[in-house]
Amino acid sequence: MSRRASSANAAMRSHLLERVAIYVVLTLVGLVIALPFYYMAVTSVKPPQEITDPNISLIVHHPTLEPYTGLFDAGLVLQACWNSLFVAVCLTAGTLLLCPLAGYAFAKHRFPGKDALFLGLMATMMIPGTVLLVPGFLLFRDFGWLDTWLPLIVPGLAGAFGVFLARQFIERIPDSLVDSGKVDGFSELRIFFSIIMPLSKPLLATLGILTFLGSWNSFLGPLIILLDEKKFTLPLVVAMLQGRFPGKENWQMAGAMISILPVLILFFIFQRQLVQSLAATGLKE
Amino acid sequence: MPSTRFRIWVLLLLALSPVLALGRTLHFWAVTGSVLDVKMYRQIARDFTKQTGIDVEVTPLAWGNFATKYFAAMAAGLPPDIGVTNLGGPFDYGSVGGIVDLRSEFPNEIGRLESQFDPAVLKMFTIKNKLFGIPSDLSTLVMYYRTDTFQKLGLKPPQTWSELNAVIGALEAHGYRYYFGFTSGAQWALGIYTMPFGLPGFAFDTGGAPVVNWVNPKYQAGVLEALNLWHMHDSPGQDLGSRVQGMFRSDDPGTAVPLMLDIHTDYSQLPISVPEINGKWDVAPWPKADDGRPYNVMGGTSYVIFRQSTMKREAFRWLEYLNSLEVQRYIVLDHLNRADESSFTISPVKAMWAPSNDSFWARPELKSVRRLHDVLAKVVPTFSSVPSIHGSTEAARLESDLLDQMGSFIRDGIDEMAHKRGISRWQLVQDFGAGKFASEREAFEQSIRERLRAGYAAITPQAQDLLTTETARYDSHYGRIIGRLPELERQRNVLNVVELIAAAILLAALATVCSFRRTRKHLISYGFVAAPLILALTFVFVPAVVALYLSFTEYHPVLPLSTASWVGLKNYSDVIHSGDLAQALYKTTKYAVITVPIGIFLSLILAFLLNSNLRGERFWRFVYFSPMVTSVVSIALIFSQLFLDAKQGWLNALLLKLGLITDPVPFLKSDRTFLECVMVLAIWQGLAFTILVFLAGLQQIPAALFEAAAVDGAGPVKRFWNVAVPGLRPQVLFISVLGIIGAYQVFETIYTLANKSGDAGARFGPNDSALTMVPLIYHTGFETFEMGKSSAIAYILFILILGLTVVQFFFYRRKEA
Repeated sequence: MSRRASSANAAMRSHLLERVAIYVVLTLVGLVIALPFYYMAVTSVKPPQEITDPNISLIVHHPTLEPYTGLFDAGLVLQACWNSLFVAVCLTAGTLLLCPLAGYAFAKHRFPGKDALFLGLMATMMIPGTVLLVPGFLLFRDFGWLDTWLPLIVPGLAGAFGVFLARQFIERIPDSLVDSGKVDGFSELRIFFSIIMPLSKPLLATLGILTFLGSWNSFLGPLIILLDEKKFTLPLVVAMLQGRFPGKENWQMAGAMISILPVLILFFIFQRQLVQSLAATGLKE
Repeated sequence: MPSTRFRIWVLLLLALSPVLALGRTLHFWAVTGSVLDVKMYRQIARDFTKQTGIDVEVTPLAWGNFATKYFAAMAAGLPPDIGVTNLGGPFDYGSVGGIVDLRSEFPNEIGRLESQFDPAVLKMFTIKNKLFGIPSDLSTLVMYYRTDTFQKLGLKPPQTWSELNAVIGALEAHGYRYYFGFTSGAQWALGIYTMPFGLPGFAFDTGGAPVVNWVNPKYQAGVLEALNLWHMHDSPGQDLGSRVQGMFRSDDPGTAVPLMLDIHTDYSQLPISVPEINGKWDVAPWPKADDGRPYNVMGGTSYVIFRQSTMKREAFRWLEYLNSLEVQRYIVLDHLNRADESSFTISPVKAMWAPSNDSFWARPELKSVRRLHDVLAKVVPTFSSVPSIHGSTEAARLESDLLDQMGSFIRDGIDEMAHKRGISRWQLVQDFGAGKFASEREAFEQSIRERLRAGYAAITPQAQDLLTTETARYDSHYGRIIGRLPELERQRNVLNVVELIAAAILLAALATVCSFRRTRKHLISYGFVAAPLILALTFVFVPAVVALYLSFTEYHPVLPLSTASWVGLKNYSDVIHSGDLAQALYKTTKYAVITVPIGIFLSLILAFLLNSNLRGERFWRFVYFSPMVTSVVSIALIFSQLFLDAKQGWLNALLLKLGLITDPVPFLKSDRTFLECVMVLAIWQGLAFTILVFLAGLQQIPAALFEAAAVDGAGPVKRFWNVAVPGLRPQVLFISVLGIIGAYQVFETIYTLANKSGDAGARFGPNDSALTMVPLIYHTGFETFEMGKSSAIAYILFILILGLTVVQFFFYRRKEA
């Protein structure tokens, strides 16, 4: 910021005051935002005696990992982590292949009915998932897919939004690069894999992160599809903790911790990409 | 051409098939709150396998949404052979043909099994002489009290309701609270208060027609006692969890609860968890109504055998085995050997309580529960049950809502009286206990009576109508269908037709692409875009068409789709006329118009502040953006503890400390505050994404604009209003539309804050105060299983969201133009 030599001490002081005020406000709000996480972390290591204490304590006096070991011994949580991971990885892998593939064709190919097909596909984004709950349930019943992970994976493998993002991105890749591939006699698949995909890393990062997070945190779909606890995804198991371990607030918070911590750590490491990806969901530049 | 190896395999499989069939496993689902129950059932199953050669696989099912799971499993054709469910389950599942009538399925064997139970308990599993289930275990309310405190205050354990009220008053006058845990506020537990007068909420008259007893003054007198115990006394509620034991241990007036009214099972572990008060407490039966007969059963579980099971006979043997004296004894012992989770089981098998079984109860390992056994041995013979009636589930919701409204009315009234005197609610309750302000209290109680009377008068006609039409509908519709289920299941249905049409479209598309040269040369392009198009056709268009069709039909998913009957616009007119839709729309809109603007305003300020070249930018962003990536369910679980309705909740503790409130606020327990809590959570969670979008927008505003404003002497407030806010107009517009669309689909937070996975009777907040659009769709579709009505509501929501999307599109177009 440019400052003029003529600006007097008063201006300097007011500027300093301004800076201090900014930090104070941000710290206070930051505390409010961090408080639930702090509560979770502290409660998750409290021993039973401190949980049953009628007086509250902001800190833990005798931290213990008993809630975590207890949860693991009771089963379900580790299994659920694995289930969630499996579903999310399958979904993400499929999306990362199929969405750019379709996006590439929609962006660079010319074929009869292209615009109509694209528009029709985009129209599906208008239908909210909640409308499809009941008929989806009946459809999956007919397919024999209830109580399996298939309904959580297959329908989302090539979602309209992903194709849209991919088309937007790939459109900006210069045609000359695609043409040069053609000149070299590359097949369409080879052009896709050796020219388009390597240039689409930001797109793949965005698509991958969004798909993974969406799957990892999704709740309503698994809630109506899955019956067997052994197949439950993590959010279902977390929601179940209140009923399964009533009164064991430390166990419940340990469960929340297990579902939140890995994502927070990943977020901390890949903050920049994540922020860009999440901003991409919203913004057409 | 099949290879030789393939043929050998087929032959081998055919040869093995009888052997494979013999080794089949019996599937048993247990609704339970404890993993230890599962371990117990597995042990019993191993012994059963040794005796009979039948393998049993035990699968646990969580309390809370178990009914949804059972119905879904029946609908999917994947139910277990036999399962444990709640006491109402046999009636509910039997009504739609999901489970077998034990009397007609096992005519020779059932007599012996039935004779093991009290006929009064079996009444609730019986519809028109069909028996759909038998009890698994039962539970009841008892009183735990501190003998030393009672002695100090000269109190005796109460034996009647009036004595109970007097004891509570005396405790409060000395600064002691009492705790009311399980069943506090629960509509389904009202039988405890009205059955002593022979008055279930719903009954059959002498002609066999269903009647609603709500306007009976005796019935209302019973309900008033319940309301009194639940709401008049500032007693801490069940969400305090295990802290209650600490409060029972305490002798600190203000904290201590020397009297606990709770389910009998929950405190058998007291000798282990708070050994320092051994010898200083005792247990007593639930007091009886002053002028009524004793009545006591209130909860429990039951066994049902599913119609689609292919192993019904084996399932019945397992049922007989579970109810043998040997296994019943094992179950009691197992429950006691669970350290800090040990509990006392009330067996429904008569022989367990007969004198011939006294030697069992005299065993040394049962010493710790001998007192509880003695108390319950007197209670068990008074057990009975209320009859099951069609339409009662929906009618009961009306009463639930009334009870929640009464709870808020009573708490507000007490708060107001306390406020007028400038004292806290707890102080006023203590004064009431000491007999002060008797005339005001009487006037207040009079207003409660009148309000309850008016409330019941208002909802009774609707409830009566529900019972009458549902009973008639069952007789005419389901009664006929259920007899012909196997035949109906073979018929084609609409879904098949739509699937066929979709397949035809796909084939036609394929044929078109392949048969014209113009398109054939683009085969590879079509191949590239095939996946999203096929998926969209199958999983979006087909279901959307089916949903539209369903919205004009009446359909229960446990029955074959061919039983869906065309009802025209009835579903739409029903949801509009019943007021459910209007209520949900009102709540959803309220939620949207409060959370979205507040979120945007806060985010604008915070984004502006975060955009000022901070030191440690990475850190700040991590803090402010972290709610965005974390699972909503986990966050809601944390908030449900922060919002705890007692001074132990962090939020309440903070507000008390700051002096903003004088008594803890029942955040999640009152219909006045529940939706607001959901909003707080939504704003907290939503900030991150909104700030992110605004920050991205701010960075696109040329820095020169800010500098120029600063040079002109504009302070931060002016720079915010004159530069940042106008520059962010497109982002604000975008977030508004996106936020409103998102707000109209709120679900997870409400589901979790209402503890629907844990609490079997939980609704979407007290008085259904957060029954917004998606919860309403979920409720009608997957809790009451009215698939047609649910689809109708979903379509109405769809049209709403479509409208919003069009508005968004319109704005974008204008912006770009």
